[in-house]
Amino acid sequence: MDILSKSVIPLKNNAAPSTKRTGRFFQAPVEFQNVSVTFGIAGKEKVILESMDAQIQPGEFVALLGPSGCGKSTVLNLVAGYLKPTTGAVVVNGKPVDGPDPQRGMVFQQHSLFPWKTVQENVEFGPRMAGEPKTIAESTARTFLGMVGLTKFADHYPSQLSGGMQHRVEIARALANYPGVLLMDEPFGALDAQTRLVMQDGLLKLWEQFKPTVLFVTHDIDEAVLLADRILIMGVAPGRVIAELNVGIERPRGVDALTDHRFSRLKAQCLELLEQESRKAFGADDDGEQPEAGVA
Amino acid sequence: MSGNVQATAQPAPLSRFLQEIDKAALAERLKRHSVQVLSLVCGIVAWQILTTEGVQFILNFNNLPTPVQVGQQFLVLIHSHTFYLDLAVSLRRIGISFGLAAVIGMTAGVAMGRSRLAQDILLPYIEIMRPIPAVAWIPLSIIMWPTNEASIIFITFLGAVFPIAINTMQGVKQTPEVLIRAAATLGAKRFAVLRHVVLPSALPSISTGLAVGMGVSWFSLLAGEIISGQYGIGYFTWESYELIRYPDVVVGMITIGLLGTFSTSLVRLLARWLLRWAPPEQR
Repeated sequence: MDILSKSVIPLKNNAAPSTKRTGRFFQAPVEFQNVSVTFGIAGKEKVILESMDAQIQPGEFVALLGPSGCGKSTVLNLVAGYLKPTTGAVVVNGKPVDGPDPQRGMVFQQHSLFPWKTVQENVEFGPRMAGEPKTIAESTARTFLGMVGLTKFADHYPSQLSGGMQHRVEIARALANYPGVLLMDEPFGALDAQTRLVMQDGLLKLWEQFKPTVLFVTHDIDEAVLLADRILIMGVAPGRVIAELNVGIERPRGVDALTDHRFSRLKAQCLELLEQESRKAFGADDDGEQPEAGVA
Repeated sequence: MSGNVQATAQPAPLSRFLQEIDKAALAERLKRHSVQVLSLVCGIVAWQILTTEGVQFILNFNNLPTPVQVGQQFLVLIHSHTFYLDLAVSLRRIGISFGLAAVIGMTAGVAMGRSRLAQDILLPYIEIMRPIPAVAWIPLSIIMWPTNEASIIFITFLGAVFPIAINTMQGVKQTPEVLIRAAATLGAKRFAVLRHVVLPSALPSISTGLAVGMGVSWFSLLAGEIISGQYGIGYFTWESYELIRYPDVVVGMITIGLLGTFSTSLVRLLARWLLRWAPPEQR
């Protein structure tokens, strides 16, 4: 535990990122420089993401909020290195992203644990791939499993766990690589409301310990306001950032922030900003008959 | 409801409950096995009656050996040295051919599943050659290979390699993209992704390919041995027919059936053990 708690090593913006494991957390800055993504052949291309410029500070928790089709998952895929931008560059820790890297951890929307590995082996996977000796990898995995409260389930296979537990293992697996930026793609989207609250609370507590930079994609306004320092609100057709909102609620935060008076005001602001976009995503026009906007 | 009553009355209700479940399951299994055995016994009795009576109605049973003759002959054969030699030769051929087919088929399947270029190079051959029955390969393989042994092994190999390659390819292609991405983000390089993600994910499909391949390789082996063998259980069966030793023919057939079933179950058992992580219905 105490190796982990003296964790924060801010790196300079121009420092070359090392893929060597430090065994400690650091906070990577993320910069989007005129990033755009288009698919399709010339003349008929579809703009998925339109020239995005944004700066994410080291250790900042940023939520990307928007209706489906706004390209918020595309943004994460760019940072993770699964996708190359059509123009511009994503710069993490001073270096343009070029393919996946353990420094940029990802927690996926779908279940992505390896079903043929036990919970322990799943969490060990990152350290093992980094060339850690078996014993070190084992103890790292145990530490992070303990932090998500799943020590008892170390020898279970993922199929034997509930959905919420599997997500906790995924978070532990991503953290076991000590990523400088943690990418989370609607990680709690499939969970029931109560489980989601517990998970959000747990995530906040974990984040307080290490404070890695977080990019958190969600379509849930409550979730964005509850978790983030800053919310980037995204619009559809084409996908782009239409506004940003600073969440001034102090940390450490818990789910009790949901009843804070600032919470409802921020929520109202988000709703207002999103309404137009949600209608567009819903397929309704601004004139004529307007069906209920599908804002969650 | 009776379980509840017991739960309050008995000191160890859980283990007792488990015992009861096991007993019920055991009884059910015994019942099924007894039906299976009974079915076989009925068949053998019918065969005995048909052959001793020499029934000639559509099928001619008058020249067939009776089950009793077959059983007696079987007892004679298991004391003879050459029968074991035939068995050993056939098993050796299956072992070599199936081993080669597994290695080459899986390698080709992985390559085709992971690379479009490899697929475009290899798949046309497979699609053209796969429907050609093993028997049709006999002339060419006798011409091509220096020894009969080699040509039998080649024919057997051909039978097994295509189902293994095709099934491996399909399994590899179905690997969920999210798992490959997850592994890459956790620091896995190409080879590690293959070993830790693609192969385990394709395993259910690969094991189907191996089991099918094992079945087809027996089929092909027999074709090869009948035409150009010197030893082997297929050669034994065909030679017995030519020497009018009909009980031996049936013993040969049953032996082939048993060996084929046994070796296929062995493959399935191994796959089940490798798939112990999966929920039971997916194994």
